[in-house]
Amino acid sequence: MTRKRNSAPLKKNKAAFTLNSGTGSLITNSPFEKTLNSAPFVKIQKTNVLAPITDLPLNSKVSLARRPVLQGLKVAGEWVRPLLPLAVIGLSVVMAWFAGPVAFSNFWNVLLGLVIEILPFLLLGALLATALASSKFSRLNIWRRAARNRAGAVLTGVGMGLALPVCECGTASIARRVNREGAPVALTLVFLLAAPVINPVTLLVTYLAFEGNWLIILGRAGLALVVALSIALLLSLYPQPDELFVSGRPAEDEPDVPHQHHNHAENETVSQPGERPDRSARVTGFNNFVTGTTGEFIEAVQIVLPGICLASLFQTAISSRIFLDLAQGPLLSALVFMLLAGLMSICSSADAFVALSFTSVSPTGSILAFLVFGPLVNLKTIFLYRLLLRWRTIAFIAVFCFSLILVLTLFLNLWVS
Amino acid sequence: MRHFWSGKQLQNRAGNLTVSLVLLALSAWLGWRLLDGTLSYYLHPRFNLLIALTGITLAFLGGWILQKQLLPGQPSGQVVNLKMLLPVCLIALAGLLVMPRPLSNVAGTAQEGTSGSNINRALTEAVQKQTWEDPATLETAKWNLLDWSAALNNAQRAEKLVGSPVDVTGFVILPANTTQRYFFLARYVVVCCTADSTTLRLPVVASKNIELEADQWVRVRGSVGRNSTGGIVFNATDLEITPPPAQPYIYP
Repeated sequence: MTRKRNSAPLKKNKAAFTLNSGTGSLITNSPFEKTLNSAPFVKIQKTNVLAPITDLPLNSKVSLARRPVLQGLKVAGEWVRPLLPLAVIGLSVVMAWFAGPVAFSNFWNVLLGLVIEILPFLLLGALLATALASSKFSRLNIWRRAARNRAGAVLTGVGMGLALPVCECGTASIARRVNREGAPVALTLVFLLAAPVINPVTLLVTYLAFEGNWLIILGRAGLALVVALSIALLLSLYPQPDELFVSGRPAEDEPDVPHQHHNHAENETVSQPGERPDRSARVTGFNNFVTGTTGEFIEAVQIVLPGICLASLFQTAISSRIFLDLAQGPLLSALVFMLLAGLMSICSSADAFVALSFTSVSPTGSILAFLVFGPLVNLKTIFLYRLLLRWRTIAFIAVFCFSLILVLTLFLNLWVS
Repeated sequence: MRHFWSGKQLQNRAGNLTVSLVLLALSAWLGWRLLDGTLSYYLHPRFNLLIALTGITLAFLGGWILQKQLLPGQPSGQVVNLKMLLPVCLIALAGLLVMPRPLSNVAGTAQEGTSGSNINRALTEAVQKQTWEDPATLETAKWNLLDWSAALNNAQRAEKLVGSPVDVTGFVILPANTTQRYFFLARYVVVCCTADSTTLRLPVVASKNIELEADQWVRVRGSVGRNSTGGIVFNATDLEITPPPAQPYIYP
């Protein structure tokens, strides 16, 4: 059962809680309780006080005195959460300001440069994600059909990654969309993690930058696939896959989901006399497409901005020369280049040219570490992953990527040398 | 027939109006930078077409939502949650209000690259195609700092280039123990956007004392020579202070 199907009982239970709140106890025998308890995706969180109030176990005895506190924290959390990105942005600007007028000027230059560079890719991702959702793929439930088992899911994810010309800036929106359409965990994660590296644009740029050095080109694609497949297969075994993903957002944050079949009363265009109804449907469909794309785009931009601010701060406050001087030996060079890639947050469609400048000072494995770890885990992507993943899933992916890439590239450094 | 909007509809329309204005502001920012040429302060010019298409698409999205809100009887569902609009709104305002300035290196805040390390395939090939057997045939007076960096990165080639004419433009970096005749001539090399910028710098020795300020743009004419320690330097016979060029970076 998907989250979408379960959203109705969740809302009903919210109403049930409100109705029973005057009795001084959360114990209820309402029929909604049975519905809630039977819904397999509903997670009971006892520790997270900022979790939605509907996540509270209805049969637990929470005292009347604690309830206003929880309500207050919930309300505060709802206000604080959107302010966190603003806080990160504000803090970055203030720190850059303290670094001096030149650093401040350079900070704005790098920040606006990164934003300008990322906008086309975020827009492309939003357009593709919305097109996928409103296409026949969605109506035919193609994601579930194509991926009835893990092998099918993985192959579909890899195929999408190879076909769609989007870097890491655009993949998160598409991954979120296919996930919402019911795609299995393996498909979503393979696409999310492999596509930034194996997409045609990145592969072509890597080919051009390294003058057809197949060790780098195939090594980059192969390493990214190994990492993506390992994570996807591992997490697909997780018994409660819904806990990996951000829940609740589709209903709350996306008022106009651009499905052709998703009729909102307000969005229905009434056919005028003499007007063909199919034209009216087309206009409504296009309007839903525009609003859906806008929603995807705005959300992706706002979620990536804190990461861009931090990356800009790093670029203007710390010289990468410090890192390059530290990158000595097979282990340390791989470590340093991964760290550098994560902090520089360069788009995967351009990082090959930057990596090219390191070839004279570092072994092949470390170059691959830079080229694979960078697109998967950097200051931009960890925020972009929040479009669909929970923080703990992102933390797992970051740690797993770091460990696996370090081991594999260390082996390459020793083996190749 | 007059149309009356309910409170909720009015709220949605106001929110959507803001969304459309933010999209139009983003589009205006991109278009403005593209038209006044300052987009090259941020990004490699090969992205200009992509940026133009993005600006047009954003303008279309914004315009579509705007006309839907202004016309009566049109859908008035909320397009995006307004909570997430504020950061995007701020960045659009910053784009329009922050005066475009190229990267500056007065405080040495930018990344410093070793000479010739960040050159792309095309320029490497261009330098490699030169006839190094006869340096007299090389048109070194047309080389920029990237060409020079690539050429001087090799000791044998550098030796052959001693005495070759130099005519390059860049900004000034004053070393810590500076004399009035010794400074670095530098340019930023941008492969994609300014986040990957690298400074290329080469030492210059002027033939006479001259008052230079850090970050000042100068045109150096002279020849390649050696300093007292045997290192390669540009011996400047003519130094001309120039305004910053329209394209301050070297784009490989």
